[in-house]
Amino acid sequence: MAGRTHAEDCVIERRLRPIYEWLDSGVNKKAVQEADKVLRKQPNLHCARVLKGLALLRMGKEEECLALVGQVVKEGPTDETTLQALTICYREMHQPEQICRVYEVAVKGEPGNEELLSHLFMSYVRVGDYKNQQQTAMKLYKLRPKNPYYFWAVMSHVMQAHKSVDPKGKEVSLLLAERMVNNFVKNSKIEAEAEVMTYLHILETQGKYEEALAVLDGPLASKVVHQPENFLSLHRGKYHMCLGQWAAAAAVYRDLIHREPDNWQHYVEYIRSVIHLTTTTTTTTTTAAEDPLVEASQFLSGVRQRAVEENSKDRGPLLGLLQLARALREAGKEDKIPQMCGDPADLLLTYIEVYGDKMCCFGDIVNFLPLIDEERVSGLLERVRNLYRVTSAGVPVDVEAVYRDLCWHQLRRALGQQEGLTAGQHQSFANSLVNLYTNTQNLAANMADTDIRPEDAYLILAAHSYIKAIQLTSPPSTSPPPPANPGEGGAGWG
Amino acid sequence: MTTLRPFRCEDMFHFNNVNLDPLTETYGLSFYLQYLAHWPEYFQVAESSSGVIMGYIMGKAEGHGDNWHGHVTALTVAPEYRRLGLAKQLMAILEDISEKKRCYFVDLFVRVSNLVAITMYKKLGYIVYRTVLQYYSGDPDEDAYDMRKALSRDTQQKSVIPLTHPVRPEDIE
Repeated sequence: MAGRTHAEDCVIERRLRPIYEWLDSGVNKKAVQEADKVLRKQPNLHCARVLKGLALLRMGKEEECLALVGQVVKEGPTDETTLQALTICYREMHQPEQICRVYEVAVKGEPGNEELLSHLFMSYVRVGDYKNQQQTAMKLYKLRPKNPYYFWAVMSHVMQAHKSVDPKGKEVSLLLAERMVNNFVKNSKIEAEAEVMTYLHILETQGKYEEALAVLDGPLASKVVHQPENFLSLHRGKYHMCLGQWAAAAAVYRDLIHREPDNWQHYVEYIRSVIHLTTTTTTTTTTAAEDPLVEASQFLSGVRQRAVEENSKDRGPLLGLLQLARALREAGKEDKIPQMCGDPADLLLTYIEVYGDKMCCFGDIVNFLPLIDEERVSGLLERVRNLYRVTSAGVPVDVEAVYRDLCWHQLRRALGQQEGLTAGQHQSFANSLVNLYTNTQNLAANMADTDIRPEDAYLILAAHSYIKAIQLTSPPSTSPPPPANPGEGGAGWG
Repeated sequence: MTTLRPFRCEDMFHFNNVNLDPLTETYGLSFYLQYLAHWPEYFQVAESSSGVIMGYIMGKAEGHGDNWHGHVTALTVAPEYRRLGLAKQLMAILEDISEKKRCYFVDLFVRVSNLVAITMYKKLGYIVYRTVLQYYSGDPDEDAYDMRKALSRDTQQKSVIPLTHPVRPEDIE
């Protein structure tokens, strides 16, 4: 289409504005009327026709829209406004591939138009056509050598790799991407943080962790500036773990625990690296001083001790040794627990002493309960019970006591203290929980309506016990009840 | 013992215990995805040792000149994980990243009736910069406080001189 002058463009824009406004307000009938008004003056105006089609589409007249829009497309429009309107149309018709076709034609007409090429690239992204994406990105880069365009091409290779079913194809795409980035690295063209992260991603996906570590140690790492403090360290730790370099990984995580004593993932990974280190180190060659488990135990004890002394609010340090015990158990080295971690029951009790008055307490320790031997259970439960006061009727005296009581009830249940009860006993237990709920409501009466009340959990526990009572009373059926026939009225599972 | 890590798409399948709280907004899918695409570093999750999402923070950086600032779009902690200092940790991450981006200040909007949140932000060093009338639509509409905290780049602390008059939502840059 012949180019328009700027003055002509302004006139057209002014004429089209009412159509846009009606479309935005959702008054599609008026949009059609306005479009017709414009078309009476300029019957061939592409944009007005497409906008009319869009209004028709939104009125439910998809066939008319398709016909109208299809006609315009045949005429090969290249102006931005029409193309954008077409994009909206095709998106709402769920035909994103058509957008690609439209922009392909436009680009053929104006191959040097950076704006059109960008839109063409986006249209391929929308449909996941990575090959065309990559080629368009390179065309853009050749037209205007900006880093983003280059990296659009790089990412297109990466996306092709991710989508590839054939492992050889995947390998090739990733290598291509890596080579492209290496090219830039060699010529010092890397600018943005996102480019470095892309590079790391490419190396990680290929399992090239040594090279990734080299990037972290090199000048590129300094470009990663907008991330949380622990970002680079976490990556470093991960790469060491993937390479089986357990001692190096352990060192990274130990440092992270020092800097962020409450960040749980550091503990988990630290302990994982230590366990691996233990299994790969022969016991005959290590003295007690070199034993990685001893070192870990001392480190975690130290962290715990400091937290206790400083009265810190961090929950992590108090659970470190328990996690070590749990990991040892999972690795089949339960025998080492007493020496390395101490008594799990004692460790749990300390935690419950400090945090038992918070709702989160039970959830925090639930994964460590298997560490408690059966004969220690009642002793632990009794010590937990003694941490708070109840009235002679067994009702907690204040809000803190309610939370601790709830924790105790949950512990009892999880540690199997309700296994042997009969249906009747479950039911009366549930009744007693409901009583506790009613008798403690006054303690938190002033709380906002939008908050969970401390006593609410009694009802949840009661419900569980009621269900247990029901299950024990009615014999289990061997097949599910038949579904209610919709034709008949009558009882059934609604 | 909280794992603080970047938000992932699949977390949206696991955040009911956070989002079903009355004062927490749940947005449309595209809203979360936009933030993940544009400002992933600001989108951080706190996860408990048992893998439960305890809370998360969403933010962005915007503005021109000395209005370049960090913004808290959403900060929420599940009810059972409150009073553990988690909001403070999440805000610290957002403020740290905003400092790295050389923002002048951080701001956020909060319902004027949400006393718990307002008190918490004040404790973290935020002041009420201005009131935005009927910012929250509803039945009835509710005003918002625009609370701010100056960062190190605002040496004269100009960004936290409170306005003397309320504004309307249209007036916000």
